[in-house]
Amino acid sequence: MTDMTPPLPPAAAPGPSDPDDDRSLLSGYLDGELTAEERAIVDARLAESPEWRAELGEVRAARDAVRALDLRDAPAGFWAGVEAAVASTPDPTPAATTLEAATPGGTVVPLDDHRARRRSRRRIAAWAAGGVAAAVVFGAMFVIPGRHQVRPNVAAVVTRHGATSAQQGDPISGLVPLAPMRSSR
Amino acid sequence: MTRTARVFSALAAVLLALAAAVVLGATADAASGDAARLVEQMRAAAGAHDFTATVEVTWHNAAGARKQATVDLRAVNGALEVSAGDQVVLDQGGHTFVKDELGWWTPPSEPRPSRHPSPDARWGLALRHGTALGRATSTVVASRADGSVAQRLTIDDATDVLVGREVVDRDGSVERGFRFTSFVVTPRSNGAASIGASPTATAKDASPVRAVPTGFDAPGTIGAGWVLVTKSRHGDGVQLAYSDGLFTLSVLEQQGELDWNALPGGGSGTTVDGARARRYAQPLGDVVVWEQDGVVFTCVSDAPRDVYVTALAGITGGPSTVDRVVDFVLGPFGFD
Repeated sequence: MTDMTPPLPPAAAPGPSDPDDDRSLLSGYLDGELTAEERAIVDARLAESPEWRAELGEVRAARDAVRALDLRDAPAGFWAGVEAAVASTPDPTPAATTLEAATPGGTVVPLDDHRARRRSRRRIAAWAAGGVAAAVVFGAMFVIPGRHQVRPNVAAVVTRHGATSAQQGDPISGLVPLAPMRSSR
Repeated sequence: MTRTARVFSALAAVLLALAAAVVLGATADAASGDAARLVEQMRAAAGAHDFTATVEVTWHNAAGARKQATVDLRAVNGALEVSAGDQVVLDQGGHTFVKDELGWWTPPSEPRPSRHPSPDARWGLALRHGTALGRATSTVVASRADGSVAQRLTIDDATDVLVGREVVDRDGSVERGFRFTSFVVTPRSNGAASIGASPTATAKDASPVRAVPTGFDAPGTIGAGWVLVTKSRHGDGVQLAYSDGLFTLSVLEQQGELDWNALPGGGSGTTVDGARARRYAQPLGDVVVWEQDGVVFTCVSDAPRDVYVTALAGITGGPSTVDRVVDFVLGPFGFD
């Protein structure tokens, strides 16, 4: 591993633009998504910085908490509600109107007032459309178990298998091979 | 010899052969039963004795290169500790804890299975007696239907502790295994001593499920003799554990699209039921990852390759009739 570790920049001068101090790497580090170079950077930082180690623990705890959330189907009527909201949303690009069409009685209104009302209707339509879009995005992200990208944590799955084998069968066969697997990662 | 005498002689020979076959069969069944009982005793022995051991672990990576590592094993008052450098795996109180470069953590403990196949339910077992490390041992040999050896378990006669294991492929080569290179049994300290490691992680139990959610598969049986023993929820998926009496197979199912670029390096390409898959060879067993019908499967098994691959396609083959009935009845109530 040490042959992969690049020289460390000064630890006293971190900053948001410093890639070697980019703590957003920690999440990818836990999920095994980093390149070898990025992983070496994080390994080096973890070795020298208690703050990084503490933050890593927090990221891991948060990640585990999120992953422990249950899958839930959309509540009954959710999609019907979304469709109804879409159907009731005014067309944000109304058909071309004339002064006469807007005033069926032929009453003449000030042009500025008419434009102000039209802008107001457009704002309402835009807000409604935005609300529907937000609801759909919310549903896709948190409610509907949709087709998202799956990144299996292979090492964690193997460890869980070994633990299960140890609990349900032979503990030596289940546990002994885990230590070299983790040390050879 | 008269014709009648020849007929009686032939009948006598046939009867003798039948009797011999019955006796040999009964002897084989008895030996297989003895071997199965020894395997069951072996599974409980590690928690019943205090000992220290050095263990040599061998396996072949996906490229076929032979790998080897040495670990230290310690059993004290029912707890088991395996260490390799800074890595520690600890089994204590029904939970497994792992210490790696990131600190302590623990995988959820699966529920206790209500049913478990007998070691000789699928496998023909035989016993061989010998010595290892200067101690008397018995080796349980499991054979495939064609007579080829699939596994050898070497068990210390005095303690029933497993001191060696070889998982053997169909050609007779050892795929992976381990063997004790030192073994010192110490008197049980009756609670006075404990394992040195103190895990800081909090133990947690997996949540068992009776019916898996729509979109997941949990066949009650797969392949030739694999029985579903537990199923639990796992964050964004379900975790299944299968057993054939000697080997184990775990499956993690997650709905979504497999991000192939996020998989670890190494491994080799393969297919499962026509679907593209990736295989990793680990000291514990093989890992196979693939996606089918919007579900990502991550499967781990300690069985020989030819034994577990026949089961993989069955995982995606849909639920059994029993599971369909259970799903129909319990489905509306969710997981529990």
